[in-house]
Amino acid sequence: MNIQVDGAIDREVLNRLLTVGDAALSKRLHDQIIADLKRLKDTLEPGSSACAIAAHEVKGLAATIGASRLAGMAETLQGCIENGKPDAALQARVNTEISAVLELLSAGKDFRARS
Amino acid sequence: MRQSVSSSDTILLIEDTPSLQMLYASALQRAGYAVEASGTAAEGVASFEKLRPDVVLLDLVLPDGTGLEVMQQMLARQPHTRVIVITANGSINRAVEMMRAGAHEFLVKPFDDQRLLAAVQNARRALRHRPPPAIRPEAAEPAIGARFIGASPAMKAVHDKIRSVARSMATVFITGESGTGKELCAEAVHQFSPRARGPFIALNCGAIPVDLLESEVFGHLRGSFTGAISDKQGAAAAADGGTLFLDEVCEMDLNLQTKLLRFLQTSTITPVGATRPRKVDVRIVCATNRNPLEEVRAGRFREDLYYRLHVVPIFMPPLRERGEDVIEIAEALVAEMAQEEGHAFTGLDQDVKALFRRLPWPGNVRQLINVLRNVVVLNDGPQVTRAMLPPDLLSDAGQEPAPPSAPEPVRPHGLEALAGRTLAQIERMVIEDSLRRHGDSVPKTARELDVSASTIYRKLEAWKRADAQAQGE
Repeated sequence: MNIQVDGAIDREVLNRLLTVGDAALSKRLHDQIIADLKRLKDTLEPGSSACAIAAHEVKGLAATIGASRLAGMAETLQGCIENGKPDAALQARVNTEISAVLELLSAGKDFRARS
Repeated sequence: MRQSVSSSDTILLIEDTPSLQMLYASALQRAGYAVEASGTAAEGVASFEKLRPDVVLLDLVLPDGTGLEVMQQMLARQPHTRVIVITANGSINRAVEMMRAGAHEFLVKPFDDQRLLAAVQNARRALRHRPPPAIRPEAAEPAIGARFIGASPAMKAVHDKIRSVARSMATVFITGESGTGKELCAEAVHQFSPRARGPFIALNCGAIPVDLLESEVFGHLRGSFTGAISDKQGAAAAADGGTLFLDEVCEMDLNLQTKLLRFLQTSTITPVGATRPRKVDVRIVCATNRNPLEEVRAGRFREDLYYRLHVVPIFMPPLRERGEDVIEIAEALVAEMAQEEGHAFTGLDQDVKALFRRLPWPGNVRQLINVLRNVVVLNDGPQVTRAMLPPDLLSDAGQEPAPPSAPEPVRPHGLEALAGRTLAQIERMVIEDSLRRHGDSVPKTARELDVSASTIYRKLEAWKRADAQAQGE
């Protein structure tokens, strides 16, 4: 599957988050978001019992950083798991989308340019 | 973390995602608050025991427990704690459940700093309004009954809901037909809330011209428009520290809905002509006799505003669905009015009671009040009998059977007859035709068309008005 990076993050939303404090805070926050997403990606491995909680966490974080496509997918995934219908294909798509978001975040030096 | 003067001023933040925890904590610290952050339920409860904070920000889903359990534990230990629940799950059911359990406010991710700070400030202000323990709302239990007569299960559910929502800051959305007591309900929510000593300001959005409504709600500065001869405090500012009741909220025009939404999000108002916003602390209760979701679907009511207002819905049941309440209310009204008018009424006779139970009461309690006022003023007692009732009320009961050989009206054959007419005209034709076939019985017509009788009454009223207007032109 191709990773579609375009549109994974609304840069305006993310920029606003990362430019409210000083540069040090901005860097810590940026790194922490990356760390959180990597941790969640690992937790979302098929068969993990913590999947529903992780999907919920992904939804909240993704919505906050402007990754609305990921937020929507995570919400659907959480619903599926809670209704006892885990969807492996959707889970794989969520993982791919997290990769896309991570790629943008790691490449996004410009996010911090304004701080 | 900064050291604060009093630990109870420290805001306890319980959020399991580290980056979000960092984001919220830094926003609060920039605004000058001391923050203690926890990432799990267990850690959060331990911090709570140590600090006994007045305000807690609590994520609903935690790795080692639910926010609901944590909140219940905290409120049991320190009931005045204001818990602001944060969650990624925007479900109304969940919000209602948390509000019932005593949450102060509900924030759905994503929210911006401004919204977060407004919620915290609201919570801190609410602490100042809290009543001393001796007059906590629970102690005033019988008072709802004093204004709301009726022991039907439908009304009991309303009483329970009022009591359970009053304590929180949650926005209450009251629906129900005209005359069912929506304003009384709003007043009860206010009286049972910790802000009972603050003002209760009611505003009928349907009764104020569109171009004046904005300044009625938000106020204006002198000279901001023609006719603004002095500064005017709007309803939102007048209700500071109390409750703002927006009646007929669905009548509000879309432009003002946007401003109301902004007000709800930021808790600030900008009077017409003013450049700087001002903070106010207001609890919103609103009401409508329309179906708000239908208004949303029709594009007349903003969906985002609907979800922000529709946190705790209360449905006021129509009188015809309240069983014996109609008799209880009628007898109480007759006793009260008889005393006022100096007439010796003792109650209703059996025939009238039976009739009252059957009537559709499209105007609900308000209609009942008007009917009885009419009876008590014009008659002397001792009992209300059928002969005293206004004739148009009797026809509502479907007493007169339809004439068996009512002249068959000329009925259109096929849909061609409807060509060139508007849907509203066709609707009127269909309803009038059905009325004719049922000897003008509204209840029977309503049954045939599967709508409520009050819908038909409303339409008849509207046509009467439109016809009168057309004649006047």
